Amino acid sequence: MINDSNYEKRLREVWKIPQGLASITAVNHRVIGVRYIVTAFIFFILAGVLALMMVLQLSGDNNNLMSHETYNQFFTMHGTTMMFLFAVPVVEGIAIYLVPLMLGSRDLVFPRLNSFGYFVFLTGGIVVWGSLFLGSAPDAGWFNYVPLAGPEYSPGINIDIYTTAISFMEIAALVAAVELIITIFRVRAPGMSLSRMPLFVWAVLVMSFMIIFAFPPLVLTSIFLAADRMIGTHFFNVAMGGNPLLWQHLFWWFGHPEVYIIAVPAFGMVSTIIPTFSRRPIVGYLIVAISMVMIGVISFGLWVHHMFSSEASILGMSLFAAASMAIALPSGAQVFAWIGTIWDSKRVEWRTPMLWVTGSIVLFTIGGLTGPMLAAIPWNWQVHDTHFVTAHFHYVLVGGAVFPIIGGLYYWFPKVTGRMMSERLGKWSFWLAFTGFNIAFFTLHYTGLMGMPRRVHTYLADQGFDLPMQIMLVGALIFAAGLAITLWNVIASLRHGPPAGDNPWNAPTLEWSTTSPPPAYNFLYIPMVHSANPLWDDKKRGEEGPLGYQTGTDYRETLGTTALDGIPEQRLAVARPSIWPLVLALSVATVFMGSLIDLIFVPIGAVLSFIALVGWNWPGKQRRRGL
Amino acid sequence: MGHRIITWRYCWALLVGSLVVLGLGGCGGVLSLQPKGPAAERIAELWWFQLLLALPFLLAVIILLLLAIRRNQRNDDTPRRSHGMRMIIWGGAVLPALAMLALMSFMIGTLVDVTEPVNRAELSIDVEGELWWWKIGYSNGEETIFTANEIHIPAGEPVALELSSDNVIHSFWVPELHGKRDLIPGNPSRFWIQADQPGTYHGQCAEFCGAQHAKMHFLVIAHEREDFMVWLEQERQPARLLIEGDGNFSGQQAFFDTGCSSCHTIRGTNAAGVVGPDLTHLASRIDIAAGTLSNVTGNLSAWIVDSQQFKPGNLMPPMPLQPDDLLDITGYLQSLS
Repeated sequence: MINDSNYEKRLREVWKIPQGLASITAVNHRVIGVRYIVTAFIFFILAGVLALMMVLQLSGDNNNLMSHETYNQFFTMHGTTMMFLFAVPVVEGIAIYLVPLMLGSRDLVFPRLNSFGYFVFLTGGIVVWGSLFLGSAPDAGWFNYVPLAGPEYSPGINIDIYTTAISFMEIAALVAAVELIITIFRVRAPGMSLSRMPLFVWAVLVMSFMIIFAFPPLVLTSIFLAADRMIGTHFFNVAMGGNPLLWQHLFWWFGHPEVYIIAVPAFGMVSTIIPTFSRRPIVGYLIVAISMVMIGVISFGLWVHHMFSSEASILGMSLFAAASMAIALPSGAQVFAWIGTIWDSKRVEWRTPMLWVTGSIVLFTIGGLTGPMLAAIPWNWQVHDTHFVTAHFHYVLVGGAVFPIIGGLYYWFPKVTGRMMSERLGKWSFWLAFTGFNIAFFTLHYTGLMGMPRRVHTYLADQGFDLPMQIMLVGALIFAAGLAITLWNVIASLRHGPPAGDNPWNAPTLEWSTTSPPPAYNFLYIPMVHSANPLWDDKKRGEEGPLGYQTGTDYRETLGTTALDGIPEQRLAVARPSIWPLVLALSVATVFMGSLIDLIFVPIGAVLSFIALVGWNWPGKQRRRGL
Repeated sequence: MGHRIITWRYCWALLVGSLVVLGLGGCGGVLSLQPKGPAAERIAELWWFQLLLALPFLLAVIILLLLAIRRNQRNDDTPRRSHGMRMIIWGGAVLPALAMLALMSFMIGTLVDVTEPVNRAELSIDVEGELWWWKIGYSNGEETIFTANEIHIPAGEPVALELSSDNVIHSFWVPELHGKRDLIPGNPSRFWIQADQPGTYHGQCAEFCGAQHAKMHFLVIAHEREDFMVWLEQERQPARLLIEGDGNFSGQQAFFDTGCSSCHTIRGTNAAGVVGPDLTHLASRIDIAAGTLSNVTGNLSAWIVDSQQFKPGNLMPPMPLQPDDLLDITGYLQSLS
């Protein structure tokens, strides 16, 4: 038995997070997680500003605030940023930060891959936004339909940036998915069988599998389009037998699951936050977990509902309509599990995180109810590509995902920073955002029914959209003000928030058993788990804290357990800090982004990538010792 | 924590607020729900049916949430029966399954009705999406005559539309008459509309198609059957080739000399360009530039001189004409009724 204080010191030593300039080599999951989250929120703010400017442009008929070029780039960038640079990275970042803590692990299993993923995401994001500031951002919509996005109708560099940046950034999503899946299956705390896993981790598991099945077709089709544009292939060229519908199928094969890739982790947050403040385990844990898996599976059978107006066969479309409606069941089951948990609670504590997720239930329900309407084919024909759809998916994605994410921000901020956020500001922020959001986006249902198509930079005087769009503008400003208060709350609380303590909410999951913020090694002892709500149940049994396992301190080491039952199986070495993930990310970026300038960069980048990979895998101290 | 953060007053304010929003919005027409033809009518019925299905769920969620919140603000610790599982089973499985079954059945009925008209369409019209206007063709088996951005149809009967595009994807949509159908290059498709009464119905491209997607409007103009036949007969007439001494002869010559005819057709003359809209009966149209401008002298000359200021990116180059030529051309075009 090693002396305790000595053990702690050695753990601290081996898990030390590089500081200063060297912090760029850090691979600890919490460092990378925070980087993802902060970067993603910066993109969220940028894309939000674009949205406000678009609403301003639409607040009067024939408005000349911005040219059609600017508007088309803005709405394309708004969608692309929100989807690829905010929603997916932010849920991945939260997962990267929380999953090892929730599982009682010291890190993800592939920390360097994790760091590599972040730099890929960052480089891709900077290139895409750089292009907007240079006035040549993608401008054919985030869905980027051909032939409009093909070489003939979009000869500029705008679409090349889309195809290369998208395929490039999806590398980040894919590596995050891989490492999350393996982490979830291999390093859960001893005793944490799948049936005791926190629901947020279930959600991340579902999300990661979905990414693995959804993103490769997107990368593939982006590469097809890049090839059409750069080397003259004919995948989508009608004149040479190509077909524009191929793009639509491959894009939406990815595009529909994408929505749930964002929403499922958010559901997981709701399912985590509600039980904490309801002071009871969630009602129907198994049903909620299975519902998320079902959503993940069914979501791959819906993509044609984005193409109902492209005329497939009536029978074929009806099958997709039925599948689209079927998703109402697992979604509904979750909504009622949340309500049931509040209902069955003896006393709910109405703290800010709870407020955001409860608001989300209402908004998600509204979006969830217009969903089956859009699956009803003839109604889809009427409102497809109108503001009605815009309203629908903002209710689902902002209401169903952004609200829980902000709730999660208030919930986990104390764990990340060790400080509480202001409850008063949090509540002001919520009520403003909730009110503003409803004013802005409920109105869009209406303009959609009035006949306002999406993606128009202006409209005619006699179409009557002026007044509703002005109402939307007011709502959008109130919504933005609400979110700005949360931003201010974050900044102010970072310095002046009262200390949080280990477990300010009296929550049941493992991340609250360690200090706030957690030490670099997360847990002194890898905890042992006896139930799905370890901190509550340990307390009931009168135990001080979870019993635990020591790990070796010669290298970074965590405990490997079996995939189903979480039985300790092996001592698992994980990687040290390294500069090579950054070098590899930049080398791969040379391949992709260089191809925008000259194809010669492709082989150059490939050689650099090879060198980086060699460096990455060069045997270090721990390899030589036979680990 | 005894915070009463959900106040009933707030909920009422939100409800009243939304009703006011709806009321104010009502100044413009809610075209999708004001059907003027059988297909749009059936679709609107589907909307009301599904709204009726959805509202109880929304109300149930809101009311249950509010009740749950009140319930545990009571602050008593006596053990109660758990209702959560029952809620999941009824609210999350049984009732939504029944609702989806009902919706699916109703939807299939509607789908069958709106896919094909009851009676066979006698008239078939070609609709081609251009950048960014609509090319409308009427064929009598021998020759096809073209017009732009106006689809004249007889009222009270179904009309078949042959939709196609040879550039990018557009989407044909007249909310008062039917849903939308995409015009996909390489995938021509057949659609139909019917207006029950004579009238003018607004249509617009609904699929993002590039720079001037926002300015790609059109009109469907329904006439009584006889009036339609008169219109069609009139539309079939070529323009008269003017000769020296005729009123607008100089305008016609200027039209040829300044290059207009390389892009535009005026049937009956040598102008046979196929890039831009057919102008044979330009003066009879309500709007120019796909609904962007009304068809009056000032707009017409301004458009000719610099169409790019109205629809930047459109295929018509600026025409820096001599004032006399411009006047002549405008006058000539306005004689093409």
